[in-house]
Amino acid sequence: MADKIIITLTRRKLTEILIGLVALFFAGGTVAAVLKYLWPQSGAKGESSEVKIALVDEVPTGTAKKFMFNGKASVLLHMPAGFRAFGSVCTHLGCIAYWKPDENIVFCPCHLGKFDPNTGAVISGPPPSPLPAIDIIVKEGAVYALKWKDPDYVKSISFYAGAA
Amino acid sequence: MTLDTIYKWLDDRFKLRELLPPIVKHPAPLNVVSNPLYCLGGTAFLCFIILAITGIFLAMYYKPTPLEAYKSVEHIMTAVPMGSLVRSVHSWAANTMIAAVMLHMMRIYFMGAYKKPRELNWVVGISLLLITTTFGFSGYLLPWDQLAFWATKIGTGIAGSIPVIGGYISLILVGGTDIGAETLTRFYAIHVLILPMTIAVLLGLHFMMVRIQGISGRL
Repeated sequence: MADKIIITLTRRKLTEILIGLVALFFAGGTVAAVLKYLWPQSGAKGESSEVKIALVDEVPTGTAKKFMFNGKASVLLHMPAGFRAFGSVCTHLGCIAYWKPDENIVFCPCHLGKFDPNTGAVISGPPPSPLPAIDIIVKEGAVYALKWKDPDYVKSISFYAGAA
Repeated sequence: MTLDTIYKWLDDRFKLRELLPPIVKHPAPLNVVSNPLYCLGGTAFLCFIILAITGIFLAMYYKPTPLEAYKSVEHIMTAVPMGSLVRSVHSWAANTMIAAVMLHMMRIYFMGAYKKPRELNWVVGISLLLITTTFGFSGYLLPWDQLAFWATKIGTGIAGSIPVIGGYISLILVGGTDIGAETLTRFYAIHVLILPMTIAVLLGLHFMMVRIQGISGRL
């Protein structure tokens, strides 16, 4: 029949293998530590983590404030009808849109995209879909961002990767 | 005290007369000396030296934070005496180095100089080419202007499109889901620490192999 497979394992060989395993273990630990160090810390993208945007007094009616929400540029608008907040990364090619008071729009400078400041809907220009709304709450004289109004919609926009 | 006495003083202690000539004296064949095509690698190395020096000077004023990066570059260009010269030389030497490296590679390729016994030097050379382009890519972000931002967006996007591991690579490279402060400091560390050390080691190997194997004759 088939030849026997003979493995000779001397005491010395065994010790060498064991030492090698220990060395591998430590090397693995080092690599893991380095990767852990380099891995970005994921901020709390929880369901209802309140993020303070601004004091009410800071943003009088007809003005806006930029802030970051889940790592995305966003904008808080104080409209006559109340506060509104949207992700301000343009859904067209990912430029940052901003509040343009003289035209009463949220404006993306890259390709002249215009958004309705009340709903985030596209008024004109190339953007294919509206800016995603952010739920906000006003309490104790300050405005807080709560969560994306429609997380599934945010997930569907490539420029908002990782934000919802 | 003449130069001779200094040389003799050193020679007594370090055996210069014995050790130096084999390192320094290596006459190249006439067809190599007379052909500017053989200068391309040297041109790339000269560019690297210039880049290292001007880069060190730039690092003294540059601040790798989103708030300060663009301002500090502006400061270098407008306020620092000779600042615009140093930065422009850095930029031009960078472009020249990429061109020289590419042409050097083409010279090696078309003259068949990569063939036995120089295969490993070709491999090291390709690594050097990749490192040079990575230098360019990482340095491109540092001015933190629109051009820089979008070039990095695209570049890290390309890295992210590698199957299976791409997403992780881009995550570690960007330091988050979007280009920001983390990306800037990461690219800065890559540009001024990791890549220079790597290229120094590889250049050493590259030159050592050339010395050991000599320059190949033409086909």
